[in-house]
Amino acid sequence: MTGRQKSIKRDILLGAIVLLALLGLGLFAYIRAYSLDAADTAFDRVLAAAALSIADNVRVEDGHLTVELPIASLEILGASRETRAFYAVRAPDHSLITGYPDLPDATPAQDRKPRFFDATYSNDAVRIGSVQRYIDFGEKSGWISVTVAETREARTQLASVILRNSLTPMAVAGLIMCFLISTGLNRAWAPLVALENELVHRAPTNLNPIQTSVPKEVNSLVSSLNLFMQRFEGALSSLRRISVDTTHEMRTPLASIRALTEVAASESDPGVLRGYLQRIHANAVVATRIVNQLLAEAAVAHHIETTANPNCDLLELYLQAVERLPTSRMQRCRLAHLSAADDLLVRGSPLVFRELIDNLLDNALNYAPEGFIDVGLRIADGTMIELDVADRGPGIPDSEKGRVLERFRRGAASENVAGTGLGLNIVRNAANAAGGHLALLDRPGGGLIARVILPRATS
Amino acid sequence: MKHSLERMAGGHVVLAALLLVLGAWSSQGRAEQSKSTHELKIFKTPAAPAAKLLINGTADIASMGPVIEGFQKHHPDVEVDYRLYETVPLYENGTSQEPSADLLISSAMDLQVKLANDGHVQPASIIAARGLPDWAAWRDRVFGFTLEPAVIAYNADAVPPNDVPRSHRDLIRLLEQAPEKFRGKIATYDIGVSGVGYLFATTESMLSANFWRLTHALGTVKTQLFCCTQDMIDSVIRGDSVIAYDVLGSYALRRMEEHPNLKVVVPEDYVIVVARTIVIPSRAQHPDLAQTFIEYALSEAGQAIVADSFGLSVGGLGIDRDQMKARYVTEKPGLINAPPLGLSVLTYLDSIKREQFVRTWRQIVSP
Repeated sequence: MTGRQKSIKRDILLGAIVLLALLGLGLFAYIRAYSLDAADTAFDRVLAAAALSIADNVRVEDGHLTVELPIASLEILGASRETRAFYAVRAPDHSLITGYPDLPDATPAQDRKPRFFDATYSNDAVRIGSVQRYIDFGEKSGWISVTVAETREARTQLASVILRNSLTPMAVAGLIMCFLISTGLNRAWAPLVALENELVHRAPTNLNPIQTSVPKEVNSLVSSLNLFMQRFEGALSSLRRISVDTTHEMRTPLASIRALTEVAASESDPGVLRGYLQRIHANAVVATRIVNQLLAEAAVAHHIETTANPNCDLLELYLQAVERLPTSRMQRCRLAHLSAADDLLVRGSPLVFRELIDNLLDNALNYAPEGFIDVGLRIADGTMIELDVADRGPGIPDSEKGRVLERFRRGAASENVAGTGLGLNIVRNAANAAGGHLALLDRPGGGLIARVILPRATS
Repeated sequence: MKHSLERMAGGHVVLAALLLVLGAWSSQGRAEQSKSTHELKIFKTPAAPAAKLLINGTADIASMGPVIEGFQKHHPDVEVDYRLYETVPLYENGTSQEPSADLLISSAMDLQVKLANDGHVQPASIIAARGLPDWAAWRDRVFGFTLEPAVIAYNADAVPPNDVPRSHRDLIRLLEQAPEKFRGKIATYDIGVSGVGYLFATTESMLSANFWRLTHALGTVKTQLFCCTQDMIDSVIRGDSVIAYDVLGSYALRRMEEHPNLKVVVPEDYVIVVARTIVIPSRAQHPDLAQTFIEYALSEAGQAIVADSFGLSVGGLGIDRDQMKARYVTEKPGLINAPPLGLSVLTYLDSIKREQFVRTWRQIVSP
């Protein structure tokens, strides 16, 4: 795999990591803000408690405001042993009663609700809590203010603990997610790798279905592969069979020709020599027929396996087939029945149908050497097209009707006819390939009707 | 075996150990002690000094000297200038804007905490301070290095053995039964003047229900008030006073060697213990050197000298820290009381609170 090539695995992993990182950053910012807020909320309550406890101890003594600082007030702030604390208690006229005179105060508000704000004091960032309390002592009555401040060490510490404790499981979860995605991708890829291994390691001639067991997600791929290989294997084996058959069938006429030419070479009598020549010619005719039919079969087989199927007009194909016949034969063919409909369309390769019609006609003309061949073309049930080729030949007894459709099998009546036994087989194969079938029927009054029934194509 | 004995004896074992150590210390010879304040002692170096460390402290030179000399053994090129202060002036010195000493050593730990809280102290990273108990260190700024028990000193010539107060309760009973006999003969700190005296008093007022009764008893006998432990001890030795209450154990024990009539009692009901603390002021000239000194004072070698010189180190009783902690915390919590080294001491330093406490106390003690 080159660096430039697209990798789904890398893309998904990269995407997931980027997404998780963005998510992590967002969460970090959110939790950080939250933790600072939470720490402030928690410690602000303590600050308020300290201020309130001091405020509650402010009293008037001999006409003066005074305060007895509760020990707990500052002790609760010092519980963390980290923070520094400052306080100031101010009279209604803002004069200091006790504490740190320069400690910032909240803007005066006349209620007991604690107020909090941030400030800098004693060179440190501090959080200040302030409470007010109304105190009544004649003319000087008013709101006294108690301000308590603490440095932020304990808050920062709590916030960072919250942050750490919330982020740690998230970071672990993120790592686990990356790991899961990575292993998931590997798992998903594993069947393809196994498939690749099987294909790479199998013998070049092995076109058997793939045996590796795969998850159902990859089943359709394997099925397609298997189907493809099956079709390929089919095409290959029929071609192979045809070439074997060709050599086998050609042996006899070629051997005869060879023997006859050898005998003829030493023959001086012109009459006898002419007889040899006639026999040589007959054998050559047989050989030619065999080659032609095998080629036709090969072509049909090849087209069945490989070609897309257009619509073909059966009548036109029939007329073309008749035109290709020698004149003497052409004149013996007549169109006896023709359906009223003008679209006798079938779906399939034109070549296949041509071979089908050629072989039907050829067969009929050969086995019934005299008289007309009656051809019928009609629509049956609206969805099928019947092509009948009827002759007045010897016919085929019922016992042989199945057999003659096999390759190189010929009926008992064919002994005197030159043929290969391929014709009806080609017709049947072609009919099957187009979704139809071939039926051999006895013709009333003697002879054979070869009926090809094909599904009608819609135009 | 030893363990079970300690269990049976309860808190008295700690007390016994305290007495034992104090007794052992008292048998050793000690140099003359100085009592005048702001006295300067320069600990010179054999050669020209490479650096100079300025220490302001409330501990007398006789106690502090051995510690400084021990430090100089490890750092022979450092000259140390030690200036003697009282606790309150030392605190004020710490808050002033002028360039200050490199180290402030005080027995008034509350004032030291206030210095640190108010931002007059700089942090120090002291390895030896790790694991110090809460009452011996605050944040990375205040470090306790001695233990100072508040004891009762008396003149053996003037107080018959049966009358010797063994506890605070004994002292109250003694004074209440014969106020005339002790009139003007009792000495204690003037807590309005002495920082450590105020610390003792506030700690006791929180600890003991009998504190104000004792104060009242001190008032009935017209107790004399002193600024410092040395003056109280001198008064007892002269016979002007017969009992001095709440004196620092280390001074009293030192003086016992030369003055056989001087005796010391560690109270049996409770003992207030303060740690002498050491801080580095923000405006210290040589903070690194100061840090080295604290590291030394808390080191094993330094603590051995401190234990010898002050009677008790924070390391304590010549045994290791964990063992001491276990004794203090588990055996008899409450017997030995150290004021917490933390923000709570600030409440008693609040000007109004302090003024009220001192006023009330004075009204009772010297009406």
